[in-house]
Amino acid sequence: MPGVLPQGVSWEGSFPVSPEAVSDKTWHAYVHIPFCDVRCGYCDYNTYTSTEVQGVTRAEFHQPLITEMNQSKLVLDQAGIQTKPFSTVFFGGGTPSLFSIEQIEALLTSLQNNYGIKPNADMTLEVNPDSVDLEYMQGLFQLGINRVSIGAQSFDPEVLKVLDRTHDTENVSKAVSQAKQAGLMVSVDLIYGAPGETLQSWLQTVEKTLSLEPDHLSAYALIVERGTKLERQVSKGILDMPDEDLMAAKYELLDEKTSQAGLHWYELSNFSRSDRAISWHNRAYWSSNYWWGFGPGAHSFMGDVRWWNKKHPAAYSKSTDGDLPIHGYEKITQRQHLEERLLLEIRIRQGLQQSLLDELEVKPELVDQQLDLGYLEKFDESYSLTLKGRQMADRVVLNLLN
Amino acid sequence: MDSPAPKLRNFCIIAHIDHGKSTLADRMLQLTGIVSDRQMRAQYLDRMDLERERGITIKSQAVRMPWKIGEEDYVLNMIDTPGHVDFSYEVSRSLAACEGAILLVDAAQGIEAQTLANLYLAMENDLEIIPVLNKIDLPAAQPEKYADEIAGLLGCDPEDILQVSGKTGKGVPELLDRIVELIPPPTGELEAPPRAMIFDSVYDAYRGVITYVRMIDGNLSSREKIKMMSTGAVHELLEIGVSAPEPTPTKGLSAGEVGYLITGVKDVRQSKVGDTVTSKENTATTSLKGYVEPKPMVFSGIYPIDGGDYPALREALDKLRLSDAALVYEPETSVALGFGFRCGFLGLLHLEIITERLEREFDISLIATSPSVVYEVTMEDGSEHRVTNPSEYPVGKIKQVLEPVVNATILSPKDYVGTIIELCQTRRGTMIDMQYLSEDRVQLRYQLPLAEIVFDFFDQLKSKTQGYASLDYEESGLQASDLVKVDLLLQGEQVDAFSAIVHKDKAYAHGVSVTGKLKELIPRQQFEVPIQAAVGSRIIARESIRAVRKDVLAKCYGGDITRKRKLLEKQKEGKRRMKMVGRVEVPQEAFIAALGSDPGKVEKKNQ
Repeated sequence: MPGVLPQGVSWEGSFPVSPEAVSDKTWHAYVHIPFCDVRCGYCDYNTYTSTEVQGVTRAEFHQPLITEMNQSKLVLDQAGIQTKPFSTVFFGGGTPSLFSIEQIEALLTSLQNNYGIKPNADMTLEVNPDSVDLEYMQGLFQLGINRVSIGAQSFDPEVLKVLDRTHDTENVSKAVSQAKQAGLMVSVDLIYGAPGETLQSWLQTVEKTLSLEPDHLSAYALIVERGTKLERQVSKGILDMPDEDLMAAKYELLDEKTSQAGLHWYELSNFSRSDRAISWHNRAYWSSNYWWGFGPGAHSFMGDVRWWNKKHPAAYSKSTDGDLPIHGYEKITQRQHLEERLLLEIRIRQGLQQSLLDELEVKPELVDQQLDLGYLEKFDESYSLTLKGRQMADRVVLNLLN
Repeated sequence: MDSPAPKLRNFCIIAHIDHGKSTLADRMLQLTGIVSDRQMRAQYLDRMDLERERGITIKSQAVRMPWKIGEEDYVLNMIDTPGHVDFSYEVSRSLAACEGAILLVDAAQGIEAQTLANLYLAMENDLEIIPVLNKIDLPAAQPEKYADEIAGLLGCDPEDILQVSGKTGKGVPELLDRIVELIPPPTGELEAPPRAMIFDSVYDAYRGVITYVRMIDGNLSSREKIKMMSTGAVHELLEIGVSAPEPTPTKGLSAGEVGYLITGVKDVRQSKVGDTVTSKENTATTSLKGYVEPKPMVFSGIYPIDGGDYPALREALDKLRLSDAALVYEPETSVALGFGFRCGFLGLLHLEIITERLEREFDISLIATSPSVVYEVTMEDGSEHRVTNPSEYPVGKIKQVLEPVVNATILSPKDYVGTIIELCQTRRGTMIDMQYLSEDRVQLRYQLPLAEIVFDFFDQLKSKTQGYASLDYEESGLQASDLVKVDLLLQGEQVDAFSAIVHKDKAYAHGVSVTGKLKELIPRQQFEVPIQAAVGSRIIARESIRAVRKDVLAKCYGGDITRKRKLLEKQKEGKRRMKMVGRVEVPQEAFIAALGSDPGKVEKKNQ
């Protein structure tokens, strides 16, 4: 989750979600582990590189998370909101694999005790290839984790240097095989478009990744985020801003290679070998299901409210004592919700349902325009992005709303 | 002929901007005792904030000062003249109100082109010229050198040129003495029916129009009705008086005197500079010579950046017109810029002053199209068109196009003569003559199309001469030229704001430049956008904006949604402000930037 929290209404203690606003959607849990060994140059996520931040230690940090889990259940009960077992659980960061198996276990136990976790839930943990071994992978599997997401980013050492990544590319291959050996599904995360990355370099990264036969692949075009080291380097002219046309070429190359390898897009940055290997947790965001984000800076969504926690681990830990560690929230109007659905649902392969466009009162000629330009294609009662359209999703959304 | 007012001296100061006219006037006000040291503020006479800020005088005014030589009391009327070429008509009327002029020259810079032009105008009006070198306190002053130069121009003895410092006051009492000695008292017939020449007309929010006049014949008293000779309009006289320097009512004004009239009129166009004022009862038979209707020379489309400001812009222009008889405007619609006004101005500075006042005093953000001159187009079928907006250039067989030309005078150190000649030649200039004012200063006279001057000529001149050259010009009729209209097409749609009338030989270069500029400024769209420059149906330049290939944020998870929706809301807002040219979205900023080699801005360096 990006560095800067949104502007919202500040939190004043009472839980702003009413039971009437909560509909029958699936529930999902995100757990944020805000620690890394090294901060990467492009990263603006809420993470800290020391093992202790103002009296909050990495080794004990599962405690405040558990406090929030307990507290959340209490608050929901008090508000009269019927909770549901989680359909997915996702440990993100930061580097969640810096937590010990025991810490992960404690967190899962708390989720299980407070809410329950559905059988066959998609349970994913993000992994840094440097900080795992076979034993750790096996430990995860035994806890019920069924999927790891391995941050490989690139197989080109020059690109890794630009991204400030420290891992050895060999460790990625090793981590993939260990995960598979442990019985876990494997997703590999890649980043393309780093300054200096050529089309050839990207092709090699993609081919190397596919040779590892992952179940799932996420590939993100690099975003130069405000406040990052990368942004400073770009603004000082040390590094070149990524070229958008080259990015588009890389995406098309990626789509071609993944298809050939049997991985197909289901969201514009995500490719999966099978329905089972899809990140159902992330899929929940794009379908506007409900999720509770536990941990500093995490966002949650329920009913017509989205809220976000205090960002700093120390501030977060302090306020879990007797209250939710929430920083701010926003009430989402019906219109806003529809527009959010538009910008989220356009990203997934199933695309935009005619019913949503009708509710948004999108003019048919605007849809036709996008069809004519070749950015959308029509199926029975829905519209999906074409290959060219996937690179232009945000512009298509804007032009549909006019 | 006896003078109707032998103790009166009417004079003005001819000076270039920055040569210290207002500072000298300040010292005179103090020395004659009419403004106390306590009341004194810098550049007392420059009223508008804008004037004070830019250090220029836009509107002339008159001040009455007492001065004593021995036992004799005299009255000196100082008429402040505007210093810019755009206002040369007002200058000529100010000069016509005087018997003498102080030629004020900066002792560190020498005479400048505009000063020279005004000096010649004063000499044509038979004014007594008192040459003065100012700023002799400056270390860089070279009074001997510039005294020689002035002596050469006036045919006087360099020794006779007074040396003063407006800043310290040195030499100013001597100057006041000399005004009394050298400038003749006014002429005119005290017994004749009254005739007063309007040399300035100022709108005051509280009092209405204040008309500054020089009485030529007879007298006007505070109790009579006055008549404007150009229109025959009769007005009640609410107040008559003199500026000393604050308005001071008197019982009347008589031949030779300078003062003001207030009639309750709310619009300066009813009290025009150059017109003759007479009495309703005792009407003069002939008006004074030299009255000319102000004629706009330069036109520009003025549009509010926010279309919602259109009514406010109309109201603001209506208000400005009350104080500016030369401003003309009519509503105009542009495909690219929406609703606005085609406005006519005396020149570029006038244009800039008006747009700046609109933005500053009325808080309206504006976009102004490139200034255009007036073309007279005759078609093969004999029909005639007056074109002030290039997009209205007629289609069909054109027999002849006439464009305004000016006589330009350029003064420069001799080292830059080569570059200046080159510049004038590329601007279709024809040399009239060239002469040395002194050993190292040259005067070049050129005939140039006005259209070439309004397009960044001054900027080029200044930059090619390290700022040393100065420029003045006066209109000099029309000439037939081989002109064409160059249109700009975005995806086949004409963008009216970019149509331009240029010389045939320059059409290609113009087309390449505009298409290139727009290619840089218009963001990539979902489709390829050709940008073409065309003369009629012939494409003379072409660029193309490739379709954008990527516009998506790759990551969108739970914590990104709020931020992303807010971004979308902002983009929607931005899209609403886009101007649509066919299917092409053009941000207003692109139009502003493309139109914005704004030649009006260039003139700022003139001050």
